[in-house]
Amino acid sequence: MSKLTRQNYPYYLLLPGLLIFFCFFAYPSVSGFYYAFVNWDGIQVRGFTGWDNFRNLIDRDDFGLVFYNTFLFTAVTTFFKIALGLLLAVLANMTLRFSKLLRSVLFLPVILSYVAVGLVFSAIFEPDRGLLNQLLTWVGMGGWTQSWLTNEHLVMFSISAAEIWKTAGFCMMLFLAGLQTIPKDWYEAAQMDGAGAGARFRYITLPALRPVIQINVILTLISGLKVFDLVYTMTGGGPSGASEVISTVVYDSFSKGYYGEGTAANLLLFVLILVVVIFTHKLITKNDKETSHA
Amino acid sequence: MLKKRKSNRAGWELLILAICFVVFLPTFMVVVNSFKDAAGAADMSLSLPGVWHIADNYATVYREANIPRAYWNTSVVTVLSVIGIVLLCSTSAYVIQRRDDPIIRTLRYILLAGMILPLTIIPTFIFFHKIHLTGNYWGVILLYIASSYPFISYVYSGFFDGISKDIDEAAAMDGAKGAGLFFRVIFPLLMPINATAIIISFMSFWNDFGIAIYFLSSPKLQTLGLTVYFFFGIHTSDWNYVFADLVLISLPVIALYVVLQRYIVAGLTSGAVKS
Repeated sequence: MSKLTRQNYPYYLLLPGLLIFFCFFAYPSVSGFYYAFVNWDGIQVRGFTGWDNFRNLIDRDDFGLVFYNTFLFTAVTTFFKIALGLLLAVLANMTLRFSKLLRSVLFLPVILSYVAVGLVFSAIFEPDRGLLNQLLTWVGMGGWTQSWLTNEHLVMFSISAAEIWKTAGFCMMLFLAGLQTIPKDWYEAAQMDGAGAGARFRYITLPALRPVIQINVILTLISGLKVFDLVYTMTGGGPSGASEVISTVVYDSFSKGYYGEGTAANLLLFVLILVVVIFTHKLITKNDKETSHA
Repeated sequence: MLKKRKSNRAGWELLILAICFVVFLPTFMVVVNSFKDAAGAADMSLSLPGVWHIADNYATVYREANIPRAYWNTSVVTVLSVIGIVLLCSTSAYVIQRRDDPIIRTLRYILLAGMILPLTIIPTFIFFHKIHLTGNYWGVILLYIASSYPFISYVYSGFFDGISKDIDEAAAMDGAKGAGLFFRVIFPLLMPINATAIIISFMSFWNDFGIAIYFLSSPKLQTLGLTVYFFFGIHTSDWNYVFADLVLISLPVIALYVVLQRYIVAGLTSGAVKS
């Protein structure tokens, strides 16, 4: 058997891909752990500087804001993508006219590029003639019009809205696939026992969808923390830094030649994602154990 | 009772139509305003154009927004990366899924980390720069392949779970081994999962912005996403042109979506569901 394994599944089939992964992704990324601790202009390393790069980052006036924005975007988008995705999936799963249309229309933004979505939403949020303010005025809510992208308190929410528009359809399809694995007779049995729609959702749909929800939460958390394209194309981090997130700081440091600082920021993101994923995973497995005991 | 049911249904159906309408509005706004003259598009209203400026707008954008070049650049980078991904991930995943030794087990953890963790982009860029992989297509192609390698290999691994080892052994009896066995016997069985891998990687490479902006900013190398972004930088308030540009760069994926909707939806979602 072992000889057969060696013959049938030789390492030379594995190596080409693996080498590319190690040389061009793993190695340079991990080398960041070195470059974050040196004084470095991209050509020459001018000595070890300890935590200086990190200290410079923390000394930025907007250090707290950058992390706050990243977390805010992550939290808002995760909540709405999961909640809306779930409700839309339930709606799409009912045998109604137009439910196919719902799927097609909601998935369309998923295939578009973030640049396109970012630019479209800069147009929608444009204060004078943008679609949103026009519609608000048109339905008689003229008092609600805002400078969606230039108001520093609103800007992260506006960017989050664009992300939710783009990806809610993706979450919907994941949940829909989950819903379709739930046997119809569970619902019929529950209905005979007198369970209302709310109870059926609470006691059948939600528990059955648990694994899908967990995957979805982890995926949206990761993509939220990494956010770059939307922020960069919609505001470039503005107005005056009010929508800066970790990845835009990395790019900004890069274009200004602050390589050490940018690498340090990138490493913080690296560690942050690791911590969040491990923490969420722990939380999920702990919850799973508790519910399986009950 | 039955009547109440019916009116309920109509209510839900109306809700669906309302949601579709709202979600589709931005797309409609872009298309309709890409047909207007500058003044009309600056208004960004949803009404049909008074004067249709289709040929005008699109010809201008085609000339001034570096469109043919960007199409070529995006296609070269995307196609080569997708081919690379399919060949490298299918072969790797085959060994990773079939073998079970300490090296492979460690490797699975490393790949899991590679799936979750972000690229450290600045050291990566400088490293590529030092070995002359910036200022040309090859660096980006290698980076696209390297960064999607863990996930796509994982998707392939899941598919190999469903192919019995008996097939390998039967083929080995007939004298096939190694690469020959894989490409002649196994690879032809992979068409469904190849389609999934192609769809996932095509979409992410074609639409990429985050890596391209570091590597492909020079006008000669700009991809579609970059050209529209830089075009917008120059023509910030010429919404008719910007919208026409957005339509032009999104056309291929939209056309694909219209023709292959079922496969695209299944392909993009199946990767996530399996994990």
